[in-house]
Amino acid sequence: MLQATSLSVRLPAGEALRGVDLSLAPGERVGVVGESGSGKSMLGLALMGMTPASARLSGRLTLDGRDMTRARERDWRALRARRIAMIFQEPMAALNPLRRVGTTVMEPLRVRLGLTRAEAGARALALFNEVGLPDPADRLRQYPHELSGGQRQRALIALALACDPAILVADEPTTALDAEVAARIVDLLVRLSRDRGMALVFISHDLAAVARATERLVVLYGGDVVERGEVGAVLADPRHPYTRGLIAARPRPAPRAPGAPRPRLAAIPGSVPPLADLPAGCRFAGRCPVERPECAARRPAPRPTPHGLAACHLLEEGAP
Amino acid sequence: MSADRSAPLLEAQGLRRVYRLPRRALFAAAPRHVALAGADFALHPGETLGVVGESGSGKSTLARLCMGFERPDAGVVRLFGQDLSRLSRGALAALRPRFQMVFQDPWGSLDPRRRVGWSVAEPLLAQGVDRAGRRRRVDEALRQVGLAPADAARWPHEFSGGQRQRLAIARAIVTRPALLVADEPVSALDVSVQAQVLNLLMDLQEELGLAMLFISHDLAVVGAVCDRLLVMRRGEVVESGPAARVLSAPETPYAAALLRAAL
Repeated sequence: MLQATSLSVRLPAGEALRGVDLSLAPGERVGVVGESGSGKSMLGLALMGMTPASARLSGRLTLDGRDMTRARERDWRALRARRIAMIFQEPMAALNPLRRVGTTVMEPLRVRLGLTRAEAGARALALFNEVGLPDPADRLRQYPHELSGGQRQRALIALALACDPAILVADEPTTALDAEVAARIVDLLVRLSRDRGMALVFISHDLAAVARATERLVVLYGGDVVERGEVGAVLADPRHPYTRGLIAARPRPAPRAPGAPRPRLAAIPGSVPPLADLPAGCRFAGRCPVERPECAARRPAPRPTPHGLAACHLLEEGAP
Repeated sequence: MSADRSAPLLEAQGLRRVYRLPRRALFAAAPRHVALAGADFALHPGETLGVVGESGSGKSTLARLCMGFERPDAGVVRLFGQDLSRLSRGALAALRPRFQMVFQDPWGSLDPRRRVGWSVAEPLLAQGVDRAGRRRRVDEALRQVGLAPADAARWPHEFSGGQRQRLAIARAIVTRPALLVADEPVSALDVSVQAQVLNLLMDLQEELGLAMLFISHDLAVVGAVCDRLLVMRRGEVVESGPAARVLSAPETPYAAALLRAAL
């Protein structure tokens, strides 16, 4: 249904995505994990045809078999909302504060689907019901500031679902929310994907949220896919040094015996470099604990692992 | 824990803070928001006390009261045995070097138009430390947070997010405080850098014997760095105890629900 083949996005500052492969079948749920600067949001924008004007795309992106790599805004507009829709991290920014949320949700229904006011109202009510907003009829008449963070995110999901998209791209949909609310939003997205047979691209820096939301995992670092595979298997047995580092660095409860020093966390040294300073070879070079002299200059090819693929020179020798 | 037998460094009793919200109608009473509805706790020297709860639970209000940025509507904050609300402005300023704060956003602690050495040294100005002394203490603080003395001459924007948080921590420890209040100090950092900053805080705590009030919504983070936990909900402490116990066998349904939700 959606296929990115060796998709690259070049910005004036550097290459934000370098040869990303991604395919989505109907109803499939894929997680994209990465830190800031990994290119995960750029991937989401590329899938929506919303990359900045200064960006240059190469490779190939097809949607329903149509090549969208060089598609014009007009072509994208015909597909957005109906075939592929997106939700963002900050729901307040995506809702017009001066309009009732019902009006915002009804707009695509009236403009895109040509429904009458009454039809659109009934449809919006059904959508609010579907995303689990309490007292949906009252919610429709409220303004964004009258809703809680979780309710706003639900309203935005309803808006994204308005035209029955086949694919939903969720970019950090839970980051601004409390843990309990975030877990419920994740569960909602999974339920909607199952009920509607809608594919889900769940973009997050949070491994735990991705594990809960998706079936397949794509780990991005510096614009490269460094590892991919079935989500549970990759998290249980990561093969790329970056994936391993990310999982090991997660804080965990560490009881301290009286007077004893507290165990330290397994930090990854350094930080994600800015786009312009990324190494030409393996992007993780400079921070990698098992780095070889050739790593910074030579780009590793993806190699099969027991549960997918990983791009690391050491895998080529069958080392880790 | 041996620390428990010593006198508390920071102690709160019946802390209450009510904010008045904007009036909705001319003759209606202004609605109130009870941010803290009576919180009690004690923090001993060298100990890390974690405060967890969702947004709106009152944890940041608690931090502001403990820092003396605001006064409670009822209750007492006792720091080094002194009631913060009874201290004069001058007395509070004199005490300030001994308790410092680290915020979620390090930009709040760094002046973008000044070299970072100036921002790190600023808390020493109020103390009247001379130029050479400031220089020495800034060098020392930068080394303690894993940066180099030469970094003092650079500008805040030249640093990464994790390094800026290190600078904010350097500024907080430059006065050699006994207490650090950290409000979501790693929430804005990337996962790979978060662990570095948490390790740094643990290093500093052991080296300097710091006590820490560590506020976070992230149970995994508080579990990794805290000795004891306070679980807050709607302005009240609903559960408290050793971190390992609260995280493995919560006694209240709310703490259990928080744990289940921690993905």
